[in-house]
Amino acid sequence: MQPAGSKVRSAGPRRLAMVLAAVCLTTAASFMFATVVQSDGFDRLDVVRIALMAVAAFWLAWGGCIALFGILFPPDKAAAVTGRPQGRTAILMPIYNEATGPVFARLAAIMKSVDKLLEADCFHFYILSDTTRADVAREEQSAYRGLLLRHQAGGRLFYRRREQNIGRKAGNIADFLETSGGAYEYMLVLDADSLMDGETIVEMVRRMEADPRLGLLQSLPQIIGLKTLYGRLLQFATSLYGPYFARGLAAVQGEEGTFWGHNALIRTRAFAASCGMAPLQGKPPFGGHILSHDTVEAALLARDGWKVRLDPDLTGSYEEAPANMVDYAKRDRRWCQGNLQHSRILAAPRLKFWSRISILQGIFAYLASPIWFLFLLTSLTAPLVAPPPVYFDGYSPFPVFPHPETATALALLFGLVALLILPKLLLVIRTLTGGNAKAFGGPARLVLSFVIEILLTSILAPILMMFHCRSVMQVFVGADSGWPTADRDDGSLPLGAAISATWWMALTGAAGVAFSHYYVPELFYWLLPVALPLVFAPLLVWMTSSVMLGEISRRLGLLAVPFDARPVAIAAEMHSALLESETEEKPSDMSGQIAGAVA
Amino acid sequence: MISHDKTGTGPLLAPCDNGSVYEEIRHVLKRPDLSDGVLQQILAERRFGADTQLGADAFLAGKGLAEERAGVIRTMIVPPPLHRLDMPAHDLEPPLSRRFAPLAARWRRAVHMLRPQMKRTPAPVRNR
Repeated sequence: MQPAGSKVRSAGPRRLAMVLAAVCLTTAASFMFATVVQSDGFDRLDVVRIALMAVAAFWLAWGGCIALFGILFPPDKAAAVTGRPQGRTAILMPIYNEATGPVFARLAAIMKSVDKLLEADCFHFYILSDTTRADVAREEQSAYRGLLLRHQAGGRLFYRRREQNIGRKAGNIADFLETSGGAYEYMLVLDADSLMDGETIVEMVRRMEADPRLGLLQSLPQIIGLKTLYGRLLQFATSLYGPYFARGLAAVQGEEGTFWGHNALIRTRAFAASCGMAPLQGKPPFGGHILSHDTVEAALLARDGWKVRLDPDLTGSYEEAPANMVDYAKRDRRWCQGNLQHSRILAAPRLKFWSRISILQGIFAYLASPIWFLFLLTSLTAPLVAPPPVYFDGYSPFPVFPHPETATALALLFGLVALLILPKLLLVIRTLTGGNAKAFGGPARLVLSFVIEILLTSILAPILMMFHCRSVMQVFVGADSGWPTADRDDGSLPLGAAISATWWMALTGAAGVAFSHYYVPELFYWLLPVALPLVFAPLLVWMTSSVMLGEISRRLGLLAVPFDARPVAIAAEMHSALLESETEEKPSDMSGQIAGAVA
Repeated sequence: MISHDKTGTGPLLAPCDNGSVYEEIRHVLKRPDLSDGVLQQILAERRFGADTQLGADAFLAGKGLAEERAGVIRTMIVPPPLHRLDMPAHDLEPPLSRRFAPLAARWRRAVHMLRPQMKRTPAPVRNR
């Protein structure tokens, strides 16, 4: 199907400006680093170090530019039709062995929010279960019946279960399209931990109807519901910086935008025609079904001329996130495999140039850590293999001493740190001057929270780097992740689980400290900011997973987010739905057998 | 295997065979696609809530006010609309021969334009 419609302003000049800015910053950093490393002579290892530094610095510069563009370019006012939507929308919740109660409570909250709308009958709800465990499936069916009876949602709430999750979530959605997709103009794809306001959903439909070329509209989900210190840190960062990073992304991506796999509205016919993906040849991790399918689906829609747009101004879209670093690393392990698998489709035919850049960006999100790690290793090794200094070069009768480049090295270090901190600082200043500081606990608490966030993320960065390195290595050798199973409902971790997940980091950090102390003492103090957090990784991971520390920070008004003071209505609705479902009796009259497919 | 939820306690009463009940269900649920056969099966298997204001037997007997009957109908577990879309699988890693086919075709066209005479002249004539 060939989409028709008007063309919006091109993102080309912004893209060019961003690439130029990132390249200029990278060149400056690489030049400074080259000046530093050649002070004690130049060898082949220095070339490797400069190359690694250049790649890593480009990645940092890219992130900094995205935030800067988010400040510079506010989103355009999106067009939306008024009145009742013309097309029907299917709200899809794909699930896979999830905790049944919270999943159905979220759906109940969304249904209640949608039911308040005049356009409520334009929306149908689907629970697309790929659950493989029979006991969970039984709970799901019982919860489905309870929800249907409570909401009197017959004819617009459906439950479908596949016993084998072929093709994972992408296969689950494809199965829906191949069964019922034609009955709906749009589908809103959720995750098991998604929450969305009815008003937001209908606004998305209106924006979709206003632009017949729009194939996918992605909202910006805010992270909510986390109580641990790490969770509050995530919430604070995504709440304060997230919207601006998203605006920056939207500004450069334009019509070849992003899809995060959930909380997005999709034109069903466009998706069905464009987004079917044949499995890649060979075995996993690089072959088989495409794992992180969302990025590829966005690229395929753009390839067929559909617009894929991220609208950061769409509020009322929420998700939950891992509450501790180990759960975060587990999720990253899955995403890492999916993104590295995308290296095989970078050269897929007819993809738009910016879609390829987005795919490359996804790959680099995980390769950046091994690149930094290799850079550290080569920097530790370089002084050992450096040629001896030449005091008499044959041109001067006097000895020529190596020129110390400490000032340049410090300037480079501060420059890189500024790339990380400056965009965030600008966003804090903007929040302070824009009068939004009250939502983050007031000006003083906002500044203090900013300092805490910078300190904590800097301390935790080496740990995340090591988790990423491990994930990348596991993907390359095809090893299992082997994570400890210590899930608690509140997201906290026992010390044993933290030690089990990070003991190897402590050993690596200690080895690095010892090595630099004995063999390269001139780098000892430079290495400490990276090595010490690794040595104390078990303690840090355990402490940041603490609900008590999270609660203390909340009481002190630190790492505060707008919904600390003004709870999200739909989240409160979800909690009351959860309580209701836990206390009420199971529907007795409909607890019969589960029959085969309805013809 | 795919299953859509469909529960019941077995047929206790013969469902009302009056076509107007089916029309009523289709109207309340705004599902004109539900066939008589499907609805008959739903009623026969009593796939609807019994805790409604109107009892199941009364509903099947055609009793009750419109609103009460609609309350029962809205607790029915009905199948989703069946309207399939084709989802062709796109090969994202086609073989090189297919990937470079447009390039090869362009090359052939260019050669054809540059050497038109050779193409048009039959081989025996050229040899002579």
